[in-house]
Amino acid sequence: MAEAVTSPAAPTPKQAASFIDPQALMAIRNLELRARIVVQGFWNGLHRSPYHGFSVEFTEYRQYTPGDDPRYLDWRLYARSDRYYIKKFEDETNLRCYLLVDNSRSMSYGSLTYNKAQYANTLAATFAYFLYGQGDAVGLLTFDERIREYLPARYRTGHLRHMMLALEKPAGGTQTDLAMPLKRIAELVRKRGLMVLLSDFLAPLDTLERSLSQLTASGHEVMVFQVLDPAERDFQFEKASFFLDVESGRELYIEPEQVREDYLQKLKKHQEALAAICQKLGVGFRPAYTDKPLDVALFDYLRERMQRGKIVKQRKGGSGS
Amino acid sequence: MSFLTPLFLMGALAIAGPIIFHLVRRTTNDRFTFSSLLFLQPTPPKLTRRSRIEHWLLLLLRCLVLGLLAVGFARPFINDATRGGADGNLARQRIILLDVSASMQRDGAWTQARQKVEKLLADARPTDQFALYTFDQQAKALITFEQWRQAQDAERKAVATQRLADTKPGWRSTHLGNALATATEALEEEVARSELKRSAIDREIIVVTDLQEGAKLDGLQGMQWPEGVKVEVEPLNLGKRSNAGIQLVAEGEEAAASAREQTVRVRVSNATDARKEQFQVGWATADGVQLSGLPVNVHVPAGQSRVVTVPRSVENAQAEKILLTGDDEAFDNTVHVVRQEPDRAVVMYLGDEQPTDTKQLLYYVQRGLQTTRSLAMEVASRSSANFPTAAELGGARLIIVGQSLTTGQNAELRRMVEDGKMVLVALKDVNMATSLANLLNLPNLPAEERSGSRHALLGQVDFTHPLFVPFADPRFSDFTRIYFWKHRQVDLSGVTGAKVLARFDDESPALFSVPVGKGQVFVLTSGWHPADSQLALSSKFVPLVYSFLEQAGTVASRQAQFAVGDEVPLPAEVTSTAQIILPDGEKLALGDRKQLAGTELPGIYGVQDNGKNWRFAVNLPTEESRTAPLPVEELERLGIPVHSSILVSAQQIEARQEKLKHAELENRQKLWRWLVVAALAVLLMETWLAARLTRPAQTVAA
Repeated sequence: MAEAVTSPAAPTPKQAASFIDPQALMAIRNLELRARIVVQGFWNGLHRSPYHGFSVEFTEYRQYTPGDDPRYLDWRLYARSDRYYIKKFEDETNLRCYLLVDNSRSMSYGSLTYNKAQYANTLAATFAYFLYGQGDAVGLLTFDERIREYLPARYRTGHLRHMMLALEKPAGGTQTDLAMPLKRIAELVRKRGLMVLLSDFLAPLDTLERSLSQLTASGHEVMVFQVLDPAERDFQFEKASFFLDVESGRELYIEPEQVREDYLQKLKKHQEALAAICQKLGVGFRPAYTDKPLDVALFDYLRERMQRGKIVKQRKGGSGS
Repeated sequence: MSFLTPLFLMGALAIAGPIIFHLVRRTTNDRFTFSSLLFLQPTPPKLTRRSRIEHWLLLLLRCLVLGLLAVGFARPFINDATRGGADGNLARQRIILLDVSASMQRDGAWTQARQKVEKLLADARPTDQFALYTFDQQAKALITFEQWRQAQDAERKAVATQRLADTKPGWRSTHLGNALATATEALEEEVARSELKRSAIDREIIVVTDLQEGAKLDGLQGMQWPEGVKVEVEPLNLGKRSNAGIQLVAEGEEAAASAREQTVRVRVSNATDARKEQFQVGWATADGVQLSGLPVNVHVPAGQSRVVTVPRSVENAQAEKILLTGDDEAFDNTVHVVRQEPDRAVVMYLGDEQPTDTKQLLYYVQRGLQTTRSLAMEVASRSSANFPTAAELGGARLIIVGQSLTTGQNAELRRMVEDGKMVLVALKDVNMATSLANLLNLPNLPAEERSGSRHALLGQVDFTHPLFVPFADPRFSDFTRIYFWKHRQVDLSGVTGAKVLARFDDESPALFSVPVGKGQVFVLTSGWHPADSQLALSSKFVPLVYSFLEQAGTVASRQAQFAVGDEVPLPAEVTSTAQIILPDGEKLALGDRKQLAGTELPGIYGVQDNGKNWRFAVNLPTEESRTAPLPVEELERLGIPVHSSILVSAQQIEARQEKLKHAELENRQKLWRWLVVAALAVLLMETWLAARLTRPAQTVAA
């Protein structure tokens, strides 16, 4: 996992050619359109992909016994074999996915033509569009130091539109506090589901483990995307200047040449610590750099899901056997 | 180029500021927003010292602004004689007012004053118009503008100096207000004559004075001070010497004669700046330089006064000078006292009455006419049997007739009246009408007795007549309280020239006058004794009798104390042959003058006329003793543009005058305005340039 952090699941140059340039994508103003472009392109590519039919996992057939819901009879098999079989799925209901988007002020930083918040919102919109397209219920929770927007997971007409509007609202927060929103979502969402957390995690990680463990303990599946700007990743500043903290307003005089090494080291440590927490809790962790295509993140998501699905299956198989 | 306030040039040192700021400055002022400083450590800011100045033009502009402001504040002016100085082309008119009041008698005062005037005259330029006036109570010209103009250039100063040498300080009081008014009038006249514009003339009044506290300034309050006339006060430096003055306290008329004989009261006033407070007052010896007998010690704090009683002893019985010792200045230490003999006035009463008979007229006349401080009254009573001689009648001031007289007596009396005597006839019964007709030289005077249950009142009084003028005030004009039980109605139709002064309420005359020759006969148609009326018992009686005496020319109060410069009224009886003896022994013929205008010397004056001798004392005006310096601000407060050179040395005066000249030049040129405008213009350029230079840097930083 540590390897994944230092060299995130960035697509190879060959792969990258097929992805959409994030600069061009982010130039599109409409969030929904951006998400659609990403997802549609993804679908197109997916025809050639080996991953198919993952959303609602088929597990086994079982003989029909009176009292079973006749809805789940496999009529085709009945036509072929003249026997009643019930088709059993991994999850009988649709997936419930909650997108947790950090809207704190640090997310408003961006060295490109767009900032981290816009990127994270587009990413969240992409996920929502993708999952909605699959027929899954999608919910949204935006937060800074407290919860800003909460849309429960639904699959109904117009819900996607609401989500897009909520995501398009400008960020108004000041500082990042993950503990409180995570605790709140754990309380709000009783049914198990998928939690996708999008944040820059530029805050002390002391309470993160506890907060994430609350989610995992509730049975939620959690995925974490750390949204970072390339400037934050590389710290390629040259000119000495006063650096102003957007969240605290603190001002420091910085000679970048002098502090770069130290900065990168500290950032690396921070990311490693975050990855370690995630690994410990069985949470998927992926850095999402804003100069990378959004599809990559989606791709990572799916791959993560696949792997986790296998693991779960293996675990289940193991436990069942 | 000179500067009025060169110290402000030090402000140019502030130019060092921009230079230092240009040389030493921080590497950056850029601000950069970053998402989080979580992983950043501050780098200590570094100041970079650069040996090379980057923006030369900006630096120059900034330095220029500061330099211009510094020069502007230093108030530069071009001190060029050819540009016409403050008084270069101006015609100068100077009036010197030289104080010759009594206080100038102080030690050294006159010498100093003369030196100052001589120096002023010596400094006069040939084009200057000069006038020299002396002043005490009034200003007096020694040399007018006209005389100065007419004299030859070379002679002017000599003439002025000569006239100055002939002048000496007098003994009069100081009236600076009058003097300044006279001087401004003279200046105004001179301007009107010269037909020059006022602005083209530098007009100045130079007052050479000891500027004492006692100088009178009244008359200046309401005065519109002419524009462009300056006043320069040249006060004398007389050092710090204590001065106390002595004045006679006026005695009241009613003061008891016996007490007056023994003592004299004087007021000792100490000047506000005095340092001595203990003095002696006493009678002076005949030569007037030393105290004789026992002096009175008196303690007077500075600025205060005390009244002291100076008793006469046997040895001082005839002394006429009181001396004050103990202060530094002698000029105001003597007060002259005249032992005034009361005037003797005889009133002749003609009637057969006992002086003690309270029912008769004489008793009340005697009670009414009491001896006062200035008038020794004597009421002589004679009956018709014991008729006075012509000399006795002539010596009487007023003759009162209270009974019928014989024809001879009436003829005698009539002659006296024709010579100017005044006779008052009290018509106490109808029978006296015949005698009165006789006196007035009438065939008969019809009269009838008026008496009855109803009393009469004075219904109509002629308050315009001198006799009743003292009663004209509404407070005293009520005669209706006086009841007349009896009176005689006299028919005045046959009396030529009779003038009714008061009438009873039945329209019959109560008091009338008939002119006879030079004199007058007053007739009261009722008596003042209780049988006839309440007049003698009323408050009007005594004033009325004195009013008659005054009509007879007797009571004119003789003042015996005057101040130097006062006009001294002479007694009415003084004839043109009288001689006036001045304190220094000089004799003057009185001539037709009725008063002695303006005494010049303090001392005791005498008037001799036909063997009669009347004396009066003239003392120093009291204000002259107040010798503490008057603050010059007092003059300024009255709106006089004054500058004084009190306590300033000659060099300082010159330096100050130079400075004033420079200030005037600077005020006229006002170069600082242009410098401030230039500084503002440069500042605008600097702002524009700085904005231009910093703008690209900002966009790069963003």
